[in-house]
Amino acid sequence: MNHKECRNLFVEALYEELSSPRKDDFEGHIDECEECRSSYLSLRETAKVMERRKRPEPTRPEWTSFWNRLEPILKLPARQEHPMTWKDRLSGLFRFRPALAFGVAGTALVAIGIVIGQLMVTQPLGTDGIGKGLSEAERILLNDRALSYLERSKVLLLGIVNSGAAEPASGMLTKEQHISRALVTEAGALKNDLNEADEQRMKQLIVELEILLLQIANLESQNDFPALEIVQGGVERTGILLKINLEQMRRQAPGPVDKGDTDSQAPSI
Amino acid sequence: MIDQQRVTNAKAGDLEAFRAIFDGHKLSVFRLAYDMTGNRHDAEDITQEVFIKAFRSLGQFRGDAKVSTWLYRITVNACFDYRSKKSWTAMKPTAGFEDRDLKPMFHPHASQDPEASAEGKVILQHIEEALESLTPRERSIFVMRHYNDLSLKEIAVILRISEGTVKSMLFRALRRLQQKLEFYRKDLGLEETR
Repeated sequence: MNHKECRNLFVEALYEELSSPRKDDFEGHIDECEECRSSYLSLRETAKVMERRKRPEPTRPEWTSFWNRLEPILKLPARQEHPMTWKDRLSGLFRFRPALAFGVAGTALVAIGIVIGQLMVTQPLGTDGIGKGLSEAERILLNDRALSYLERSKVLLLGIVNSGAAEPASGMLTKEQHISRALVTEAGALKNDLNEADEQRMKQLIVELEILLLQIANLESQNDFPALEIVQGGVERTGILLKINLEQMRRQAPGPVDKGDTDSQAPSI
Repeated sequence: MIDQQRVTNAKAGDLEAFRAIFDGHKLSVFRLAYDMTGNRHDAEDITQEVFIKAFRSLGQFRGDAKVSTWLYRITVNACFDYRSKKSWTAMKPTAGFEDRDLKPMFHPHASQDPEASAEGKVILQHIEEALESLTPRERSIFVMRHYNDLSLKEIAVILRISEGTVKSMLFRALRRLQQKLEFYRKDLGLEETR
């Protein structure tokens, strides 16, 4: 018996499945060959370690309970008990075919990407928003709201700009702060409603106003002169009053407001 | 022959006959399922699935093989299916299952020393991890031969492969386990067996 023949019998020898003549040959070779003996004993040691494994076993009451759960299932008609779902069919299709499964998954991902891409391209942001569903009456109301908002903001800012920083009327600033907070809140709702292409300039103006109104609302006290000066400087620097005037003129002019001006900003002066 | 008679009766709708088949083979099925999964709850689920499948397919059992062989085949297939279904969650040994559940398989007089017990738990964990390193097919062959005392020929019939394939896969499984548990040879005093 050579080494290869001997090694081919390792498993049968280990589990005592060797027939008598082969067993004698095997043992004869193992006694003589140090290399094969070492390999075989090493394998036997591993098998001994594996014998240390333990496993749980259900108790008798557990088996009784097990049968009590099983019995009603067995009494059910086969179809009701385990109907073939689409998941079962799919898993059956892809079992032992991981390459096919990955291929289908990849194709599905690409298809989903194409669909999402097409949706993004055919529906550019800002042109088909929520406002598209507004009726003509609602559009007029929205326009009035926006104009009213601009007017109130303008009056407020004029009051701030024209007040003497050295002697603000006592209690006046608190009232202006309240109005500012109310306008900031209203700005949020207006921005949500202004979704048409021709309303983007108005929307941008409201965003700029919001910053100034927040500065006013957050003045720490009636005597917070440095912050007040910053607000006054901001009104002048941004030319916000002029922008408001222009927008009011544009919106109050007869006929439709100019369309297709979505990207242009209000003139910066 | 008793099993064959029970199968015949069960085919005719006798649930008590099937109960007798269940009682006669439940432990073997559960043990194999546990050996394949390393998890008691999975083993219980698989055992239930096996007996449901067996009951539903009684009509296909022609009686060419032993009932035990037939049930083992269903069990192995159920384990493969279960494993593939659970592949994303990776079947692991049940952490912290109670010691009362663990019955020594080959060492009924194991030491009661707590230190030895702690050490024993580590060894058990390493053994489970070594088993996890086998492919499902290798594991099925190893546990059927090593823990369930099925002959190479019976395993070949159950898996519908040649005996030579069973032998070579079992040898491969043993070699893999040997590599995983190499460091135990000294610790367990197995060197002395040389």
